[in-house]
Amino acid sequence: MRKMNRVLVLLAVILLYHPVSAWTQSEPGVNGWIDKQIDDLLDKQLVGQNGQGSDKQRESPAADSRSTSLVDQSSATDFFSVAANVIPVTPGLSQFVSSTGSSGNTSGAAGSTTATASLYALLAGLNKVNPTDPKFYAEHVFSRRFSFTVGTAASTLATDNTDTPATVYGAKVLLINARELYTKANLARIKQAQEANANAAKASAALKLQVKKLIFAALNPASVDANGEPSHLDSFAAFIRDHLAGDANFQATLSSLSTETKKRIQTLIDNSLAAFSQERAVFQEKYDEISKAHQLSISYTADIRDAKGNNYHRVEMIFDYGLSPRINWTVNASGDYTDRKTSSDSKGGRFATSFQGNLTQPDSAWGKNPITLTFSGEGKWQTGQKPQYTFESKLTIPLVPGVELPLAYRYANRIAQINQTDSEARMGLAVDISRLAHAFK
Amino acid sequence: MAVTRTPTVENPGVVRVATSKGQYLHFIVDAGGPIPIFTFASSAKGVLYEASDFPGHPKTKYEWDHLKNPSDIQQLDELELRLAFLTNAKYTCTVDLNDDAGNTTVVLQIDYAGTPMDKAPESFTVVIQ
Repeated sequence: MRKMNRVLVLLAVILLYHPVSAWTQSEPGVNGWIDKQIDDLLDKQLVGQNGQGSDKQRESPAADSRSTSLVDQSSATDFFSVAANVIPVTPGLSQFVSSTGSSGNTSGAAGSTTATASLYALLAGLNKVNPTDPKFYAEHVFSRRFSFTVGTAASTLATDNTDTPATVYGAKVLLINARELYTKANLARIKQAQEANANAAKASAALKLQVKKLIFAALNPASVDANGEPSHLDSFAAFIRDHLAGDANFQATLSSLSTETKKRIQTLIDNSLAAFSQERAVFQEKYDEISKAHQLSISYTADIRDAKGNNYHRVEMIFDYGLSPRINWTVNASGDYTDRKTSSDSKGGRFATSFQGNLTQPDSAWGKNPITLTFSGEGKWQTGQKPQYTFESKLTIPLVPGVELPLAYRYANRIAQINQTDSEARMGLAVDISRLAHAFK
Repeated sequence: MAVTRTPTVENPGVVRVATSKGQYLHFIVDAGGPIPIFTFASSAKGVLYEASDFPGHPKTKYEWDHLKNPSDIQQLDELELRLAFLTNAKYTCTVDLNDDAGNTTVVLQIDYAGTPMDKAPESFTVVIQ
């Protein structure tokens, strides 16, 4: 039965993970062709990289021992997300992937599920406003600093003194958010991007008309005046409609042009390139400056159990910094307190760090997130316990927009309380409700 | 870097406007948010509008008329609406050909979705009749 479940899960992963083919195209006809020539030339000059924030935590808090996230990130989703660690530490799966064996003590527990919402999302819901509404977004900057988590976490007798699931409570406050669009510095960056966009629009409109006139003059020399301007406007309009506006017709027109005319078009494009090059450079620079900016937050998480079970409390400082457009670095420093009902309490500290890298480009702003690879390390020091060191590597695979499958492999030198090393595989499911809903619009 | 461009009414490439009969163009840009960046430019007059020129920016709908004011009228003008996705992921652009009698024809209507580095230029030539 267990084998069959494993096969079904793997099958579901394979079936769900197929690339969504977007209908991607530029303007049709000559305009789209000019845009492509410009992009191709710029691609030769610059190798631009793009990324999408790997700083947003969509999984359960790290304080949940069944979370697929070893390290917490400074910002939660802007809106609302749900995380389920659907495959806890099953002995079969751990043995399947681990050569070091696994502990059965944490196995057999059910998974955990948490839901996180920002104060902003709650306000948008209460006001029945789309959370991306520009006016609402601009007026509620402060509310994006706060997020709340509730959920359940599995318990085991060995580590939690009960097998009744814990209730998870959490709150996070973003103290410093240099990635917020509405800071003075970022609004100034957006203004610079707007200016670059305006310069490119001006250059593009002029260039496209010049190219159209040049092609018309080359193929209709009797219909232009001494300056090469169309002398019959209706003929020019009909020429654009019939020979330049559509992709198929334009390809035929392009093929009929002489080498000399093609060279002249290329010269026109080359001479206009500066505005487009500047636009691309400014956008890349501003995007990097915003997306790599630092964030600092403070959070509190508690796993509260029944009368016999242990309660866990964690107060944590979280720092995020973009090392590059594709790599985010996170540091956690926390104070942990374990409230035991049948033995002495533990107090201690924890330090953790992780590097999250985007392996792919994002699909679109509201599409699938990139595939991310994360390497994390954590050290925990608590009274009455030997130090515990944990390492994790995690691959997060977006299934569809708003749904991600984190697959983690974790190794710990010992599990607190039972002095036993543990190596295990974990699988979860993270759902960003807003993003998912947007995909179905 | 790829824009998903979905036309409901495809860009015709050239639009004839009989300004002498009261015809003019009406532009509508619907933006998903949070901060739209776009420019409306003319080959004859350069930049006509930026998103930030509109009262209430940032907002979900931007509208303006072109060729209603005689100073806008330029023969063989190339008009470009250039959308950027740095801080706004989705746009819908609609261009209507209106006249003073209240008649409206949709010239183009296109949905766009993109990633932060994307831009989507959309342009056509105006022939004044």
